[in-house]
Amino acid sequence: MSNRLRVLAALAALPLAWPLAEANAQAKYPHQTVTLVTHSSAGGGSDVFLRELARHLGPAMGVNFVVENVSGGSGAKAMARMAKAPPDGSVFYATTPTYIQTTLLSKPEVGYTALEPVATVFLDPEVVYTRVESPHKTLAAVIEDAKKNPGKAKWGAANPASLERIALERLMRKTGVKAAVVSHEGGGQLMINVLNGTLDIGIGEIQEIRAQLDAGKVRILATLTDKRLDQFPEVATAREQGIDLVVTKFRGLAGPKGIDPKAAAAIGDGIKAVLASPAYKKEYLKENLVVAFMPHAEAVKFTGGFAKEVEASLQEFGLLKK
Amino acid sequence: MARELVTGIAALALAAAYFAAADALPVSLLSDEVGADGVPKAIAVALGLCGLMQLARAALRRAPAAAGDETAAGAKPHLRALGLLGIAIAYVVVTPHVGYLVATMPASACRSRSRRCRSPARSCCGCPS
Amino acid sequence: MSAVAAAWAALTGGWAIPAAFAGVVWGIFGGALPGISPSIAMALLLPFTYGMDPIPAVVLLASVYVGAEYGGSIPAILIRTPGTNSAMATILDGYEMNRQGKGGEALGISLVSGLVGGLFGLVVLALFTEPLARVALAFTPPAYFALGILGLSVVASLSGGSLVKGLIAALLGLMIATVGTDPVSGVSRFTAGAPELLGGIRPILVMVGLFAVSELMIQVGEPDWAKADVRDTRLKLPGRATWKRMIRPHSIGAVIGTVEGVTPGAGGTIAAFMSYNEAKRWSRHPEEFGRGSVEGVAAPEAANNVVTATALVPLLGLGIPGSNSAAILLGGFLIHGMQPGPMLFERNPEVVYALYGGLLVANVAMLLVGLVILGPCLWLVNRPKPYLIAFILALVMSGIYSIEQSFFDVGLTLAAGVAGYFMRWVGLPFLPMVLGVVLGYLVESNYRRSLVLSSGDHAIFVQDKVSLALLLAAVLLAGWSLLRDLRTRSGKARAAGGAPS
Repeated sequence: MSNRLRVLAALAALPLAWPLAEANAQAKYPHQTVTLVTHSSAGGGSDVFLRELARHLGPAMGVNFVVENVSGGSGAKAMARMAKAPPDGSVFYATTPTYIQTTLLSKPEVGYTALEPVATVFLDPEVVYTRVESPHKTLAAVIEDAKKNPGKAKWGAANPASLERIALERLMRKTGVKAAVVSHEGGGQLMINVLNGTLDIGIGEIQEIRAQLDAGKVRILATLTDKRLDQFPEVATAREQGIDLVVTKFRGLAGPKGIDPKAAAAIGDGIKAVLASPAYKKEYLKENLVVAFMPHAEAVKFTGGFAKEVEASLQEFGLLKK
Repeated sequence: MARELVTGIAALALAAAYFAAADALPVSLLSDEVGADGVPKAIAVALGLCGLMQLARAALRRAPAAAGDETAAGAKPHLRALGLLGIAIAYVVVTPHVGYLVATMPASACRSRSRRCRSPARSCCGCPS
Repeated sequence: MSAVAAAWAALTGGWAIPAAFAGVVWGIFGGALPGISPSIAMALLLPFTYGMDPIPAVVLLASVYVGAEYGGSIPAILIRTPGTNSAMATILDGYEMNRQGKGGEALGISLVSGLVGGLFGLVVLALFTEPLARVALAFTPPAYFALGILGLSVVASLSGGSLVKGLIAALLGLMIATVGTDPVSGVSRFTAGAPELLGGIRPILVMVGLFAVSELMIQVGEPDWAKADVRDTRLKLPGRATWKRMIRPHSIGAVIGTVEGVTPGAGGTIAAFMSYNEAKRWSRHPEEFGRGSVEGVAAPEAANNVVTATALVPLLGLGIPGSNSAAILLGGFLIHGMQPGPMLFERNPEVVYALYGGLLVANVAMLLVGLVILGPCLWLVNRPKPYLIAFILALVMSGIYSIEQSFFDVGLTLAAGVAGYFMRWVGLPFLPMVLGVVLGYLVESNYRRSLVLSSGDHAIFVQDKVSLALLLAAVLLAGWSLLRDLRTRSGKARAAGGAPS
C-alpha cells in the first residue's frame, strides 16, 4: 500500500468530470460496461489509478467503467478472479510489479501467467533520500562515505522482499558496499527512522516523502530513473552519478489469457489518446507519474522480461529456489 | 486433573510441531542473523519448557477429590457445541454456491430447530457488502 | 486569528456539524459490529467524501473514529464480544457488570469515560502537537521493541490463577503472530501455501473467535440463559460517587492514551490494556477488578478515546499516519488536495482548527447519540436466547466476512472459536494470548531490525535511552505484579489452611 497516498491525491476532482460523459468515441467499444479489477482496497494505490484512468477514459471511449476491489493475498485473489473472467475485453486488471512478485514468492494456484498484459501506462519514479541534516548531497557521496567507514552504513526500505528492498541489495552489489538494510512495515516507519537519523538513506516513491520534502526535512539524493524528473530537474539520476541502478515500478492493464486482440487494441488506443489530453496530463504530472505507454504486444514482451528479471534476482538473493 | 495433563501434553506437542515447521523454513540471503526461524524457534523452546512445567505441576498436585463434576454432565454440552459449529461450517461452505440469502434461511431455520424455537430466528442482520 | 474565524464559519455555516453527527452514528454502528474496526468503518465512508467540501469530509472521517471506539464497547459489555480491538480490555469488567445486572451502568460509564478521554485527547492534540510529534521521532526500532515488551509484561498480572498457563497462552498468541510474511527477509512463514495468510492473521479474527464463538458454543450446551429478567435495561449515567471513583482511572487512561497515541504503531489496544492494568495497580479496590469494577471499565475506555485524538499528532505534526485509521484520514486529506504534515498548519490552518472543532462536536455528539441508541441495544440483548445466539452468530460471521469479503477469514474465526472452547475447557486464559497476537509482530520485527542496525549486538537495547527506560519499567511492573500475586496467594492459602474444607 506504499503508494496509496500518491494516487489518492489524484481522486480529488473525480466527481467533477462525470458531466463530460458524452460519448464521442470513434468506433463503439464492444462492451457498454467494463469491469476494472484491482487487488488494492478502496483508496489504495491501484484503486485510485483505475478510478482516475476510468474518469478520463470512460467519456473518451463511451464506456462505463466499474472498479471492483478484490483485495487480499497481495493480488492472489484478484488473479484468481481474472482467470475466471471471459477474455472478451469486458474485464481488466490493474497491473503493478506486485502481482508478479506475489506469483513468484507465494506461488498461488493462479499466477501472472494466467493474465495477458494489454498495456503499460505509467512508471512511478523511485528516489533515494535522506534527512536535510545529513552532510551528503548526492548518492555518490553516501556511497563514498560508506566505503570509507565500513560497517557503519544503514539503509532502509519500506517493505521486506519488495522491489525497493531488492533495489538496495543490487545497490550493495554494484558498489561493493556492505550496509545494514532494514525493512519496515510501510513508508511511514521508514520515514521516522530516516528523520531521526537511525538510517542514512531511505528509498521510496516521491509521493511517500512529499510532506517532508515540502517542509524541507528531507532531501532527494538521486532518482532511480532513466532520465531526470521534470519536477526535480536539479536532481541527478543514479546513473549520472556513476551507479547503474534503475527501478521500474510500472502501472498498466491486463486481461485474462487469450484476450480478444481487437478489444486489447481498442483499450490501448483509448489510453494513448487520453494520456495526451490536457486534463489528465495535468493530474498525472502533478503526481510525478512518468508516461510509459506500451500497446498490447509490447506490454506482453516487457512484462515477460520484467518477470524474468525479478525471478532471477529473487533466486540470486535466495528468496526463491533455482 | 486430566485437563492439567492434557494442557501440558498439548503444549509439548504443539511446541515440537511448531519447531519442526520453523526449521523447515527456507533461508533467504536477504535475511538477518536471527533469521526467519530464530524467533519462532525461541517461542517453541519456551512453549516446550512451559509444557514441561505444566506436566510437573499436574503430576505433583495431589489428586483432588472433586473429579467427577464434569464427567457427570456427560458429553452432551460438547455435542451441542459441535452442532453449532457444524451449522456455522455448513453455512460457510454453502453460501458461495447458493448465495447469501438462500443459505441464510435454511441455516437459521436449522439453527432454530436445534434450539426448539417457535419461529425461525431471523439472522439477516446485515448483508456482506 | 483569521484562520480561527474561517474555521468557525466553516463549522457553523456549512455541513461540518451534521457531518460530525453522521460520522459518530456511523462509527458507533460500525464499532459495534464485531469485525468492523474503526479504520474499516472509515474506509467504507471514504468514497463518499470525494464530493464533499474539505472541512466536512475530514471532520466526518475523524468523527467515525471517535464513534467507533465507543461503539466497540457496546458488544464487549453486552455480549462479551469486542467490537473493536481496543474494546478487549473493557470486556473484563464491563461484561461482568452486565452479568450482575448492571449493564446499563457499565455502558454509561463507558460513554462518559469515552467523552472525558476524547476531550482530554483533543486538548493535548490542540496544544501540544508540535512538541509531541518530536516524541514520535525518538522512537527507534529498539524503543519499539521495548514498548512491545512493556505491553507483554502485563501478561504477568492477566494470567489469573496460573502463571504457567498465562505464559502458555501468551506464547500461543506469539505463535499466531509469526504467521505471514517475515518482517525482515520477506519469506512466507507458516502459511501452508494459503495466499490469504501472507498478510498475517488479523488480531480481531482471533479475538472474535476466542470470545464470541466459543461463548456461543458454550451457551448452546447450557440448559438455560443465566439472565435476570429484572435487569435494569436503561442506560444509567454515573452518579457523584461513581464520578469520584473514576478520577484515578481516568487520569491513568489519559496519560497512557497520550503516550500510546503519539507513538506511531502502538495504538489503542495496548493503551487500553496497560491502563486497565495500571488502574488495577493504583486502585484502592484492586480486588474488585475482574468482578465488575467501575474503574476497570473507566480506565480502558478513557484511554482508547484519548487515542482517537492523540493518534492524529504524528499525522498532523509529521504527516506520518500512526495507525490504520490515521492512514485513512490521511487519504481524506489527500483527496482534497491537502498534505498533512508540518506545512499543513501554514497552508491550511483553517482546516486544522475546524478539525479540532469538529472533534469537539463529535465527542458531544457521541454522548447524545450514545444516550439514544442504547435503549434499542439493551432491548436486543434481552431477547430469548435462541434468537440471540442466532443473531450473534450471524452478526459475527457477516461482520468478519465484510472485512475482506473472505470466507477464509470466517473459517479462521471459527477455528479460533474451537481453540477458545478448548482453552476454556483446560483453563487457559484468553487475554495473554490476545496480547501475544497483538504485540508479537511489533516485538519480533523491531527486535530483528535493532539487531540488523547493531550488527547483532544486543547492547543496542540498553544503549538506546528510550528503550532502556521502557525495559526497566517492564521489569519493575512485572516484578511488582508477581510479588503481589504471590503475597495474596500465600495469604489465601493460609486462610484456606485454617478452615476445614
